[in-house]
Amino acid sequence: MAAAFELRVFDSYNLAESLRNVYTNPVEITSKKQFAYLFGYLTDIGTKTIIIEPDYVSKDYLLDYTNYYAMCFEVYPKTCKRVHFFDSEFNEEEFKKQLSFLPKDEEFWKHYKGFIVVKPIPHKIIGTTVLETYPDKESNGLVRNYFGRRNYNIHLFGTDISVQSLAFQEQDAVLSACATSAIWSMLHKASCNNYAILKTPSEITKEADIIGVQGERMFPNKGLSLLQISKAIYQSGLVSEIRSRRNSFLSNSYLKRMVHAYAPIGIPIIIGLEVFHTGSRTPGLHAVTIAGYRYNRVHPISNPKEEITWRSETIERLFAHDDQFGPFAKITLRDLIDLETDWTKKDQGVFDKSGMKIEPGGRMTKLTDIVVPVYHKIRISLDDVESIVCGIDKILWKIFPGNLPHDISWDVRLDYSDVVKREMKLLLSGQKLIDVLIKPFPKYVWVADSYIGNDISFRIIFDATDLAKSMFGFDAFFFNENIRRDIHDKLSKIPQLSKLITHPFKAQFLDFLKEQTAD
Amino acid sequence: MYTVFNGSYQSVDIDIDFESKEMKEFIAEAINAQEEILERKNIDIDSLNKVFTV
Repeated sequence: MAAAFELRVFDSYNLAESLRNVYTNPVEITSKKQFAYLFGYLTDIGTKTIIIEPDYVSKDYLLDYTNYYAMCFEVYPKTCKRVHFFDSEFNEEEFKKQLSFLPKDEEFWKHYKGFIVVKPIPHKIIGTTVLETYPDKESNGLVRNYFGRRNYNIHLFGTDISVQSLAFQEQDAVLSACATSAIWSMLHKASCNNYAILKTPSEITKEADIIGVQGERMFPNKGLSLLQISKAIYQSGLVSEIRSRRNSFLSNSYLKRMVHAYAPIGIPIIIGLEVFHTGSRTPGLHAVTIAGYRYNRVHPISNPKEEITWRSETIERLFAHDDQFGPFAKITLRDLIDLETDWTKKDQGVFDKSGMKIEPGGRMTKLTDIVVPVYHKIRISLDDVESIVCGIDKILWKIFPGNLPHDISWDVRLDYSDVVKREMKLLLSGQKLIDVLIKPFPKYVWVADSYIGNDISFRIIFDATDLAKSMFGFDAFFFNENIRRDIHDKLSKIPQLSKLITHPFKAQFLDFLKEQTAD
Repeated sequence: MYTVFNGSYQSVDIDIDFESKEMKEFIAEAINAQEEILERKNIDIDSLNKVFTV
Protein backbone atom coordinates (compact mmCIF):
# COMPACT_ATOMS: atom_id res chain seq x y z
CA MET A 1 0.00 0.00 0.00
CA ALA A 2 1.39 3.42 -0.96
CA ALA A 3 2.11 5.90 1.82
CA ALA A 4 -0.94 8.10 2.45
CA PHE A 5 1.28 11.13 2.82
CA GLU A 6 4.85 12.26 2.50
CA LEU A 7 6.65 14.78 4.69
CA ARG A 8 9.40 17.06 3.40
CA VAL A 9 11.39 19.90 4.87
CA PHE A 10 10.49 23.14 3.07
CA ASP A 11 13.14 24.32 0.63
CA SER A 12 13.32 25.09 -3.08
CA TYR A 13 14.28 21.54 -4.10
CA ASN A 14 11.57 19.89 -2.01
CA LEU A 15 8.92 22.36 -3.17
CA ALA A 16 9.74 21.57 -6.80
CA GLU A 17 9.67 17.84 -6.05
CA SER A 18 6.33 18.25 -4.27
CA LEU A 19 4.80 20.03 -7.25
CA ARG A 20 5.97 17.57 -9.94
CA ASN A 21 3.59 15.32 -11.80
CA VAL A 22 3.98 12.62 -14.46
CA TYR A 23 4.08 15.25 -17.23
CA THR A 24 6.17 17.94 -15.55
CA ASN A 25 9.56 17.38 -13.93
CA PRO A 26 11.08 19.56 -11.17
CA VAL A 27 13.47 21.30 -13.61
CA GLU A 28 10.53 22.46 -15.68
CA ILE A 29 8.66 23.45 -12.53
CA THR A 30 11.50 25.62 -11.24
CA SER A 31 11.53 27.49 -14.57
CA LYS A 32 7.94 28.66 -14.05
CA LYS A 33 7.31 32.23 -12.88
CA GLN A 34 4.71 30.85 -10.48
CA PHE A 35 7.29 28.61 -8.81
CA ALA A 36 9.64 31.50 -8.01
CA TYR A 37 6.72 33.56 -6.73
CA LEU A 38 5.21 30.79 -4.60
CA PHE A 39 8.59 29.82 -3.14
CA GLY A 40 9.16 33.47 -2.14
CA TYR A 41 5.64 33.83 -0.74
CA LEU A 42 5.81 30.58 1.25
CA THR A 43 9.21 31.60 2.60
CA ASP A 44 7.82 35.02 3.62
CA ILE A 45 4.95 33.44 5.58
CA GLY A 46 7.48 31.27 7.43
CA THR A 47 6.89 27.84 5.86
CA LYS A 48 9.01 25.07 7.40
CA THR A 49 7.34 21.78 6.55
CA ILE A 50 5.51 20.28 3.56
CA ILE A 51 2.95 17.47 3.74
CA ILE A 52 2.04 15.87 0.41
CA GLU A 53 -1.38 14.25 0.05
CA PRO A 54 -0.83 12.11 -3.09
CA ASP A 55 -4.44 11.32 -4.03
CA TYR A 56 -6.79 14.24 -3.76
CA VAL A 57 -10.13 14.65 -5.50
CA SER A 58 -10.40 18.30 -6.47
CA LYS A 59 -13.94 19.32 -7.40
CA ASP A 60 -12.61 22.24 -9.45
CA TYR A 61 -10.34 19.99 -11.48
CA LEU A 62 -12.84 17.13 -11.69
CA LEU A 63 -15.46 19.34 -13.36
CA ASP A 64 -12.92 20.71 -15.83
CA TYR A 65 -11.69 17.12 -16.35
CA THR A 66 -15.18 15.90 -17.29
CA ASN A 67 -15.74 18.95 -19.52
CA TYR A 68 -12.49 18.63 -21.45
CA TYR A 69 -9.60 16.43 -20.37
CA ALA A 70 -11.67 13.21 -20.26
CA MET A 71 -12.35 13.63 -24.00
CA CYS A 72 -8.64 13.59 -24.89
CA PHE A 73 -7.17 10.35 -26.27
CA GLU A 74 -4.34 10.71 -23.75
CA VAL A 75 -5.49 9.25 -20.44
CA TYR A 76 -5.06 12.11 -18.02
CA PRO A 77 -5.52 11.12 -14.37
CA LYS A 78 -8.66 12.39 -12.70
CA THR A 79 -7.18 12.85 -9.25
CA CYS A 80 -4.73 15.51 -8.15
CA LYS A 81 -2.10 15.87 -5.50
CA ARG A 82 -2.50 18.34 -2.63
CA VAL A 83 0.54 19.92 -1.01
CA HIS A 84 0.10 21.39 2.48
CA PHE A 85 2.32 23.89 4.27
CA PHE A 86 3.12 24.48 7.93
CA ASP A 87 5.29 27.13 9.58
CA SER A 88 6.48 24.66 12.22
CA GLU A 89 8.90 21.71 12.20
CA PHE A 90 7.80 18.17 12.98
CA ASN A 91 8.39 14.61 11.81
CA GLU A 92 6.10 11.93 10.39
CA GLU A 93 5.54 10.23 13.72
CA GLU A 94 4.50 13.48 15.37
CA PHE A 95 2.17 14.30 12.48
CA LYS A 96 0.48 10.87 12.67
CA LYS A 97 0.01 11.38 16.41
CA GLN A 98 -1.56 14.80 15.81
CA LEU A 99 -3.99 13.28 13.30
CA SER A 100 -5.35 10.89 15.93
CA PHE A 101 -6.20 13.56 18.53
CA LEU A 102 -9.80 14.45 19.28
CA PRO A 103 -10.29 17.32 19.85
CA LYS A 104 -7.41 18.46 17.67
CA ASP A 105 -4.36 20.09 19.22
CA GLU A 106 -5.00 23.77 18.38
CA GLU A 107 -1.40 24.66 19.20
CA PHE A 108 -0.16 22.31 16.45
CA TRP A 109 -2.73 23.19 13.79
CA LYS A 110 -2.42 26.95 14.18
CA HIS A 111 0.80 26.55 12.20
CA TYR A 112 -1.11 25.35 9.13
CA LYS A 113 -0.62 27.85 6.27
CA GLY A 114 -2.67 26.43 3.41
CA PHE A 115 -2.31 24.22 0.35
CA ILE A 116 -1.64 24.00 -3.38
CA VAL A 117 -3.52 21.46 -5.54
CA VAL A 118 -1.22 20.03 -8.23
CA LYS A 119 -3.17 19.20 -11.40
CA PRO A 120 -2.14 16.06 -13.35
CA ILE A 121 -1.69 17.89 -16.67
CA PRO A 122 1.41 19.12 -18.52
CA HIS A 123 3.11 22.33 -17.33
CA LYS A 124 0.00 24.21 -16.07
CA ILE A 125 0.08 22.36 -12.79
CA ILE A 126 -0.97 24.97 -10.21
CA GLY A 127 -4.59 24.23 -9.36
CA THR A 128 -6.69 25.58 -6.51
CA THR A 129 -4.31 27.27 -4.12
CA VAL A 130 -5.37 28.56 -0.72
CA LEU A 131 -2.59 30.24 1.24
CA GLU A 132 -2.75 32.36 4.35
CA THR A 133 -2.28 36.08 3.80
CA TYR A 134 0.42 38.29 5.27
CA PRO A 135 -0.59 39.68 8.71
CA ASP A 136 -3.18 42.49 8.68
CA LYS A 137 -0.93 44.91 10.56
CA GLU A 138 2.67 45.85 10.00
CA SER A 139 4.99 47.20 12.66
CA ASN A 140 5.36 50.55 10.84
CA GLY A 141 1.69 51.49 11.29
CA LEU A 142 0.56 50.35 7.85
CA VAL A 143 -2.58 48.24 7.67
CA ARG A 144 -3.59 45.57 5.16
CA ASN A 145 -7.26 45.24 4.26
CA TYR A 146 -7.88 41.90 2.55
CA PHE A 147 -11.46 42.63 1.57
CA GLY A 148 -11.50 39.73 -0.89
CA ARG A 149 -10.59 37.16 1.73
CA ARG A 150 -12.97 34.50 3.03
CA ASN A 151 -12.87 31.49 5.31
CA TYR A 152 -11.96 28.08 3.86
CA ASN A 153 -12.69 24.92 5.82
CA ILE A 154 -10.07 22.36 4.90
CA HIS A 155 -10.38 18.67 5.70
CA LEU A 156 -7.03 16.93 6.00
CA PHE A 157 -6.93 13.25 6.99
CA GLY A 158 -9.87 13.62 9.39
CA THR A 159 -8.90 16.98 10.86
CA ASP A 160 -10.78 20.21 10.08
CA ILE A 161 -8.68 23.33 9.71
CA SER A 162 -9.68 26.81 8.58
CA VAL A 163 -7.67 29.37 6.64
CA GLN A 164 -8.54 32.95 5.70
CA SER A 165 -7.62 33.44 2.06
CA LEU A 166 -8.87 33.74 -1.49
CA ALA A 167 -8.42 30.82 -3.87
CA PHE A 168 -5.92 31.17 -6.71
CA GLN A 169 -5.05 29.04 -9.71
CA GLU A 170 -3.00 29.55 -12.84
CA GLN A 171 -4.64 29.48 -16.25
CA ASP A 172 -4.38 26.14 -18.01
CA ALA A 173 -4.33 27.91 -21.43
CA VAL A 174 -6.98 25.45 -22.64
CA LEU A 175 -10.11 26.07 -20.61
CA SER A 176 -8.97 29.39 -19.20
CA ALA A 177 -6.71 32.34 -19.88
CA CYS A 178 -5.94 35.13 -17.40
CA ALA A 179 -9.42 36.68 -17.42
CA THR A 180 -11.14 33.37 -16.65
CA SER A 181 -8.77 32.76 -13.73
CA ALA A 182 -9.43 36.32 -12.51
CA ILE A 183 -13.22 35.79 -12.64
CA TRP A 184 -12.90 32.37 -10.95
CA SER A 185 -10.97 33.89 -7.99
CA MET A 186 -13.49 36.74 -7.74
CA LEU A 187 -16.40 34.28 -7.64
CA HIS A 188 -14.78 32.34 -4.82
CA LYS A 189 -15.55 35.30 -2.56
CA ALA A 190 -18.65 36.67 -4.29
CA SER A 191 -20.37 33.27 -4.05
CA CYS A 192 -20.38 33.59 -0.25
CA ASN A 193 -23.48 35.71 -1.05
CA ASN A 194 -26.41 33.64 -2.22
CA TYR A 195 -26.97 35.76 -5.36
CA ALA A 196 -23.63 34.79 -6.93
CA ILE A 197 -22.73 31.32 -8.20
CA LEU A 198 -19.25 29.82 -8.20
CA LYS A 199 -18.40 28.36 -11.59
CA THR A 200 -15.43 26.30 -12.76
CA PRO A 201 -12.95 27.83 -15.24
CA SER A 202 -14.47 25.82 -18.11
CA GLU A 203 -17.99 26.98 -17.22
CA ILE A 204 -16.84 30.63 -16.97
CA THR A 205 -15.20 30.52 -20.41
CA LYS A 206 -18.13 28.64 -21.95
CA GLU A 207 -20.66 31.14 -20.63
CA ALA A 208 -18.59 34.14 -21.75
CA ASP A 209 -19.48 33.58 -25.42
CA ILE A 210 -20.02 31.01 -28.12
CA ILE A 211 -17.09 32.26 -30.23
CA GLY A 212 -14.15 34.62 -29.73
CA VAL A 213 -14.12 38.27 -30.91
CA GLN A 214 -12.43 37.28 -34.19
CA GLY A 215 -14.75 34.35 -34.76
CA GLU A 216 -12.29 31.86 -33.33
CA ARG A 217 -13.23 28.90 -31.14
CA MET A 218 -13.53 29.45 -27.40
CA PHE A 219 -11.57 26.27 -26.55
CA PRO A 220 -8.58 26.13 -26.39
CA ASN A 221 -9.06 29.59 -24.97
CA LYS A 222 -6.74 32.44 -25.94
CA GLY A 223 -8.37 35.07 -23.75
CA LEU A 224 -11.58 36.94 -23.04
CA SER A 225 -12.59 40.42 -24.15
CA LEU A 226 -13.94 43.03 -21.75
CA LEU A 227 -17.45 42.34 -23.07
CA GLN A 228 -17.01 38.58 -22.58
CA ILE A 229 -15.74 39.17 -19.03
CA SER A 230 -18.89 41.16 -18.34
CA LYS A 231 -21.10 38.41 -19.84
CA ALA A 232 -19.40 35.72 -17.74
CA ILE A 233 -19.87 37.81 -14.60
CA TYR A 234 -23.55 38.29 -15.49
CA GLN A 235 -24.00 34.53 -15.93
CA SER A 236 -22.74 34.11 -12.38
CA GLY A 237 -25.40 36.38 -10.89
CA LEU A 238 -23.61 39.72 -10.82
CA VAL A 239 -23.44 42.81 -13.00
CA SER A 240 -20.34 44.81 -13.91
CA GLU A 241 -19.39 48.44 -13.42
CA ILE A 242 -16.85 48.88 -16.21
CA ARG A 243 -14.39 51.73 -16.54
CA SER A 244 -12.09 51.58 -19.52
CA ARG A 245 -9.77 53.70 -21.62
CA ARG A 246 -8.84 52.89 -25.20
CA ASN A 247 -5.87 55.12 -25.94
CA SER A 248 -4.96 56.28 -22.46
CA PHE A 249 -4.69 54.92 -18.95
CA LEU A 250 -6.82 55.17 -15.85
CA SER A 251 -5.08 57.04 -13.06
CA ASN A 252 -3.76 55.48 -9.87
CA SER A 253 -5.78 57.98 -7.85
CA TYR A 254 -9.00 56.75 -9.48
CA LEU A 255 -7.96 53.13 -8.93
CA LYS A 256 -7.44 53.86 -5.23
CA ARG A 257 -10.84 55.52 -4.97
CA MET A 258 -12.60 52.66 -6.75
CA VAL A 259 -10.92 49.94 -4.68
CA HIS A 260 -11.48 51.80 -1.42
CA ALA A 261 -15.11 52.58 -2.31
CA TYR A 262 -16.20 49.08 -3.33
CA ALA A 263 -14.01 47.09 -0.88
CA PRO A 264 -16.55 47.10 2.02
CA ILE A 265 -18.95 44.98 -0.09
CA GLY A 266 -16.17 42.38 -0.12
CA ILE A 267 -16.25 41.34 -3.78
CA PRO A 268 -12.79 41.26 -5.40
CA ILE A 269 -12.29 43.71 -8.26
CA ILE A 270 -10.91 42.72 -11.67
CA ILE A 271 -8.51 45.11 -13.37
CA GLY A 272 -7.02 45.16 -16.85
CA LEU A 273 -3.30 45.88 -17.10
CA GLU A 274 -0.85 46.67 -19.84
CA VAL A 275 2.26 44.59 -19.09
CA PHE A 276 5.63 44.17 -20.73
CA HIS A 277 7.50 40.90 -21.33
CA THR A 278 11.24 40.73 -21.71
CA GLY A 279 12.02 40.92 -25.42
CA SER A 280 8.74 42.50 -26.46
CA ARG A 281 8.37 46.14 -27.48
CA THR A 282 4.60 46.01 -27.42
CA PRO A 283 2.69 45.42 -24.20
CA GLY A 284 0.17 42.66 -23.61
CA LEU A 285 -3.21 42.96 -21.93
CA HIS A 286 -3.57 41.06 -18.71
CA ALA A 287 -6.41 40.65 -16.18
CA VAL A 288 -5.85 40.20 -12.44
CA THR A 289 -8.06 40.18 -9.35
CA ILE A 290 -7.62 42.74 -6.56
CA ALA A 291 -8.19 41.06 -3.19
CA GLY A 292 -6.72 43.61 -0.79
CA TYR A 293 -4.74 46.75 -0.25
CA ARG A 294 -2.26 48.30 2.16
CA TYR A 295 -2.83 51.79 3.48
CA ASN A 296 -1.76 54.21 6.14
CA ARG A 297 -4.46 54.58 8.76
CA VAL A 298 -3.45 58.19 9.44
CA HIS A 299 -4.19 60.66 6.68
CA PRO A 300 -1.63 63.47 6.39
CA ILE A 301 -3.08 66.74 7.71
CA SER A 302 -2.75 69.80 5.53
CA ASN A 303 -3.97 73.39 5.49
CA PRO A 304 -7.35 74.18 3.91
CA LYS A 305 -7.22 74.11 0.11
CA GLU A 306 -9.67 74.51 -2.74
CA GLU A 307 -8.98 71.17 -4.44
CA ILE A 308 -10.87 68.16 -3.18
CA THR A 309 -8.96 65.68 -1.02
CA TRP A 310 -9.74 61.94 -0.95
CA ARG A 311 -8.76 59.87 2.06
CA SER A 312 -8.23 56.85 -0.21
CA GLU A 313 -4.94 58.51 -1.24
CA THR A 314 -3.27 56.74 1.71
CA ILE A 315 -3.54 53.45 -0.20
CA GLU A 316 -0.03 52.66 -1.41
CA ARG A 317 -0.17 49.04 -2.50
CA LEU A 318 -2.70 46.54 -3.85
CA PHE A 319 -2.67 42.76 -3.50
CA ALA A 320 -3.75 40.93 -6.62
CA HIS A 321 -4.19 37.34 -7.73
CA ASP A 322 -2.04 37.36 -10.86
CA ASP A 323 -2.28 33.94 -12.47
CA GLN A 324 1.15 34.39 -14.09
CA PHE A 325 2.77 34.80 -10.66
CA GLY A 326 0.65 33.89 -7.66
CA PRO A 327 -1.82 34.94 -4.96
CA PHE A 328 -1.69 38.37 -3.29
CA ALA A 329 0.99 39.68 -5.66
CA LYS A 330 2.07 43.21 -4.81
CA ILE A 331 1.10 46.13 -7.03
CA THR A 332 2.78 49.31 -5.81
CA LEU A 333 1.18 52.55 -6.96
CA ARG A 334 3.79 55.01 -8.24
CA ASP A 335 3.08 58.57 -9.36
CA LEU A 336 0.08 59.23 -11.60
CA ILE A 337 -0.21 56.10 -13.76
CA ASP A 338 2.78 53.87 -13.04
CA LEU A 339 2.23 50.54 -11.34
CA GLU A 340 5.20 48.52 -10.14
CA THR A 341 4.35 44.83 -10.42
CA ASP A 342 6.11 41.48 -10.70
CA TRP A 343 6.01 42.13 -14.46
CA THR A 344 8.08 45.28 -13.88
CA LYS A 345 10.59 43.39 -11.75
CA LYS A 346 10.95 40.50 -14.22
CA ASP A 347 11.20 42.67 -17.34
CA GLN A 348 14.75 42.64 -18.71
CA GLY A 349 13.95 44.98 -21.60
CA VAL A 350 14.39 44.41 -25.35
CA PHE A 351 17.54 43.18 -27.09
CA ASP A 352 18.52 43.29 -30.76
CA LYS A 353 19.86 40.29 -32.68
CA SER A 354 23.42 40.96 -31.50
CA GLY A 355 22.27 40.89 -27.88
CA MET A 356 22.55 44.64 -27.43
CA LYS A 357 19.89 46.10 -25.15
CA ILE A 358 17.72 48.46 -27.17
CA GLU A 359 15.05 49.10 -24.58
CA PRO A 360 15.65 49.18 -20.82
CA GLY A 361 13.99 46.70 -18.49
CA GLY A 362 11.78 47.44 -15.51
CA ARG A 363 9.02 48.90 -17.66
CA MET A 364 6.07 49.97 -15.57
CA THR A 365 2.64 48.33 -15.73
CA LYS A 366 -0.34 50.58 -16.55
CA LEU A 367 -4.03 50.39 -15.70
CA THR A 368 -6.38 50.15 -18.68
CA ASP A 369 -9.64 48.83 -17.22
CA ILE A 370 -11.54 48.35 -13.99
CA VAL A 371 -14.38 45.81 -13.71
CA VAL A 372 -16.30 45.97 -10.43
CA PRO A 373 -18.73 43.06 -10.04
CA VAL A 374 -21.74 44.12 -7.98
CA TYR A 375 -25.21 42.93 -7.04
CA HIS A 376 -27.67 44.27 -9.62
CA LYS A 377 -29.61 46.30 -7.04
CA ILE A 378 -26.58 48.54 -6.53
CA ARG A 379 -27.49 51.04 -9.22
CA ILE A 380 -25.70 54.17 -8.08
CA SER A 381 -22.00 54.08 -8.95
CA LEU A 382 -19.03 55.72 -7.27
CA ASP A 383 -18.93 58.26 -10.09
CA ASP A 384 -22.54 59.31 -9.42
CA VAL A 385 -21.73 59.90 -5.74
CA GLU A 386 -18.31 61.44 -6.39
CA SER A 387 -19.86 63.99 -8.69
CA ILE A 388 -22.28 65.14 -5.97
CA VAL A 389 -19.54 65.10 -3.32
CA CYS A 390 -17.32 67.26 -5.55
CA GLY A 391 -20.18 69.75 -5.85
CA ILE A 392 -20.73 69.76 -2.08
CA ASP A 393 -16.97 70.21 -1.56
CA LYS A 394 -17.07 73.34 -3.75
CA ILE A 395 -20.04 74.64 -1.74
CA LEU A 396 -18.09 73.98 1.47
CA TRP A 397 -15.13 75.95 0.08
CA LYS A 398 -17.45 78.94 -0.28
CA ILE A 399 -18.93 78.44 3.22
CA PHE A 400 -15.52 77.80 4.82
CA PRO A 401 -13.11 79.80 2.65
CA GLY A 402 -9.92 78.67 4.39
CA ASN A 403 -11.17 79.39 7.92
CA LEU A 404 -11.14 75.78 9.17
CA PRO A 405 -8.08 74.57 11.09
CA HIS A 406 -7.32 71.87 8.49
CA ASP A 407 -8.22 70.73 5.00
CA ILE A 408 -11.54 68.96 4.42
CA SER A 409 -11.07 65.39 3.17
CA TRP A 410 -13.59 62.80 1.98
CA ASP A 411 -13.99 59.10 2.58
CA VAL A 412 -16.54 57.71 0.10
CA ARG A 413 -17.53 54.06 0.17
CA LEU A 414 -20.33 51.59 -0.54
CA ASP A 415 -21.45 49.53 2.41
CA TYR A 416 -24.17 47.37 3.87
CA SER A 417 -26.59 49.51 5.86
CA ASP A 418 -26.46 47.16 8.85
CA VAL A 419 -22.70 47.74 9.05
CA VAL A 420 -23.27 51.50 8.85
CA LYS A 421 -25.91 51.32 11.60
CA ARG A 422 -23.49 49.39 13.84
CA GLU A 423 -20.84 52.04 13.16
CA MET A 424 -23.27 54.80 14.14
CA LYS A 425 -23.14 53.42 17.69
CA LEU A 426 -19.59 54.82 17.82
CA LEU A 427 -20.71 58.24 16.63
CA LEU A 428 -24.15 58.93 18.13
CA SER A 429 -25.88 58.27 21.43
CA GLY A 430 -29.27 58.60 23.11
CA GLN A 431 -32.43 59.24 21.11
CA LYS A 432 -30.49 60.35 18.00
CA LEU A 433 -28.88 56.92 17.83
CA ILE A 434 -32.15 55.06 18.45
CA ASP A 435 -33.80 57.10 15.67
CA VAL A 436 -31.13 55.95 13.23
CA LEU A 437 -31.19 52.33 14.34
CA ILE A 438 -34.96 51.95 13.98
CA LYS A 439 -35.19 53.86 10.68
CA PRO A 440 -35.62 51.55 7.66
CA PHE A 441 -32.51 51.76 5.43
CA PRO A 442 -31.91 50.32 1.96
CA LYS A 443 -29.62 47.27 2.14
CA TYR A 444 -26.81 49.06 0.27
CA VAL A 445 -25.82 52.65 0.96
CA TRP A 446 -23.09 54.98 -0.17
CA VAL A 447 -21.40 56.72 2.75
CA ALA A 448 -19.57 60.03 2.29
CA ASP A 449 -17.69 61.02 5.43
CA SER A 450 -16.33 64.53 5.59
CA TYR A 451 -13.24 65.00 7.77
CA ILE A 452 -11.43 68.05 9.07
CA GLY A 453 -7.89 66.84 9.61
CA ASN A 454 -8.34 63.32 10.97
CA ASP A 455 -11.63 64.09 12.75
CA ILE A 456 -15.01 63.33 11.22
CA SER A 457 -17.31 66.34 11.02
CA PHE A 458 -20.32 64.95 9.16
CA ARG A 459 -21.61 61.95 7.23
CA ILE A 460 -23.95 61.89 4.24
CA ILE A 461 -25.73 58.66 3.34
CA PHE A 462 -26.93 58.01 -0.20
CA ASP A 463 -29.36 55.31 -1.28
CA ALA A 464 -27.26 53.00 -3.51
CA THR A 465 -30.38 51.32 -4.91
CA ASP A 466 -32.00 54.57 -6.13
CA LEU A 467 -31.95 56.09 -9.61
CA ALA A 468 -28.89 58.10 -10.68
CA LYS A 469 -31.18 60.77 -12.13
CA SER A 470 -32.95 61.43 -8.85
CA MET A 471 -32.15 63.07 -5.53
CA PHE A 472 -30.59 59.95 -4.02
CA GLY A 473 -29.46 61.57 -0.75
CA PHE A 474 -30.92 59.51 2.10
CA ASP A 475 -29.76 60.91 5.44
CA ALA A 476 -27.01 63.00 7.00
CA PHE A 477 -25.43 63.25 10.43
CA PHE A 478 -23.52 66.25 11.73
CA PHE A 479 -21.17 65.64 14.62
CA ASN A 480 -20.20 69.26 15.21
CA GLU A 481 -22.93 71.76 16.04
CA ASN A 482 -21.08 74.83 14.76
CA ILE A 483 -20.37 73.20 11.41
CA ARG A 484 -24.00 72.09 11.10
CA ARG A 485 -25.39 75.53 11.95
CA ASP A 486 -22.92 77.32 9.70
CA ILE A 487 -23.77 75.13 6.71
CA HIS A 488 -27.50 75.52 7.32
CA ASP A 489 -27.33 79.32 7.64
CA LYS A 490 -25.30 79.76 4.46
CA LEU A 491 -27.38 77.31 2.39
CA SER A 492 -30.57 79.06 3.53
CA LYS A 493 -29.22 82.52 2.72
CA ILE A 494 -27.60 81.61 -0.61
CA PRO A 495 -29.73 79.10 -2.55
CA GLN A 496 -27.71 79.88 -5.70
CA LEU A 497 -24.97 77.66 -4.25
CA SER A 498 -26.82 74.81 -5.95
CA LYS A 499 -25.19 76.11 -9.16
CA LEU A 500 -22.04 74.35 -7.97
CA ILE A 501 -23.66 70.95 -8.42
CA THR A 502 -24.23 69.52 -11.89
CA HIS A 503 -27.23 67.27 -11.52
CA PRO A 504 -30.81 67.52 -12.79
CA PHE A 505 -31.94 67.53 -9.13
CA LYS A 506 -29.31 69.96 -7.82
CA ALA A 507 -31.90 72.19 -6.11
CA GLN A 508 -33.34 69.13 -4.37
CA PHE A 509 -29.85 68.10 -3.24
CA LEU A 510 -29.41 71.55 -1.70
CA ASP A 511 -32.85 71.31 -0.05
CA PHE A 512 -31.86 67.89 1.29
CA LEU A 513 -28.72 69.37 2.88
CA LYS A 514 -30.69 72.29 4.29
CA GLU A 515 -33.23 69.92 5.79
CA GLN A 516 -30.54 67.67 7.26
CA THR A 517 -28.72 70.60 8.85
CA ALA A 518 -31.87 72.17 10.33
CA ASP A 519 -32.36 72.25 14.15
CA MET B 1 -12.59 54.05 15.38
CA TYR B 2 -13.61 57.64 14.95
CA THR B 3 -12.66 60.93 16.57
CA VAL B 4 -15.22 63.65 16.09
CA PHE B 5 -14.20 67.17 15.06
CA ASN B 6 -14.40 69.37 18.16
CA GLY B 7 -11.97 72.04 17.01
CA SER B 8 -12.88 75.69 16.94
CA TYR B 9 -12.93 78.05 13.98
CA GLN B 10 -14.16 81.53 13.22
CA SER B 11 -17.27 81.55 11.07
CA VAL B 12 -17.13 84.16 8.30
CA ASP B 13 -19.88 86.12 6.60
CA ILE B 14 -19.88 85.44 2.90
CA ASP B 15 -21.20 87.60 0.15
CA ILE B 16 -21.01 85.94 -3.23
CA ASP B 17 -21.53 87.85 -6.46
CA PHE B 18 -22.71 85.09 -8.79
CA GLU B 19 -22.44 87.45 -11.74
CA SER B 20 -18.76 88.17 -11.17
CA LYS B 21 -16.23 86.76 -13.65
CA GLU B 22 -14.37 85.02 -10.85
CA MET B 23 -17.49 83.24 -9.58
CA LYS B 24 -18.61 82.29 -13.09
CA GLU B 25 -15.19 80.71 -13.66
CA PHE B 26 -15.39 78.96 -10.30
CA ILE B 27 -18.80 77.50 -11.19
CA ALA B 28 -17.63 76.49 -14.68
CA GLU B 29 -14.61 74.68 -13.23
CA ALA B 30 -16.76 72.90 -10.66
CA ILE B 31 -19.28 71.79 -13.29
CA ASN B 32 -16.56 70.67 -15.72
CA ALA B 33 -14.90 68.57 -13.04
CA GLN B 34 -18.18 66.87 -12.19
CA GLU B 35 -19.01 66.24 -15.84
CA GLU B 36 -15.59 64.67 -16.32
CA ILE B 37 -16.32 62.35 -13.41
CA LEU B 38 -19.64 61.29 -14.93
CA GLU B 39 -18.04 60.80 -18.35
CA ARG B 40 -15.90 58.01 -16.91
CA LYS B 41 -19.02 55.85 -17.11
CA ASN B 42 -19.04 56.15 -20.91
CA ILE B 43 -17.09 53.35 -22.50
CA ASP B 44 -15.68 53.38 -25.99
CA ILE B 45 -17.27 50.45 -27.86
CA ASP B 46 -13.85 49.39 -29.18
CA SER B 47 -12.63 49.02 -25.61
CA LEU B 48 -15.14 46.27 -25.02
CA ASN B 49 -13.55 44.12 -27.72
CA LYS B 50 -9.97 44.27 -26.54
CA VAL B 51 -8.86 40.82 -25.45
CA PHE B 52 -6.85 39.96 -22.35
CA THR B 53 -4.45 37.38 -23.72
CA VAL B 54 -1.43 37.34 -21.40
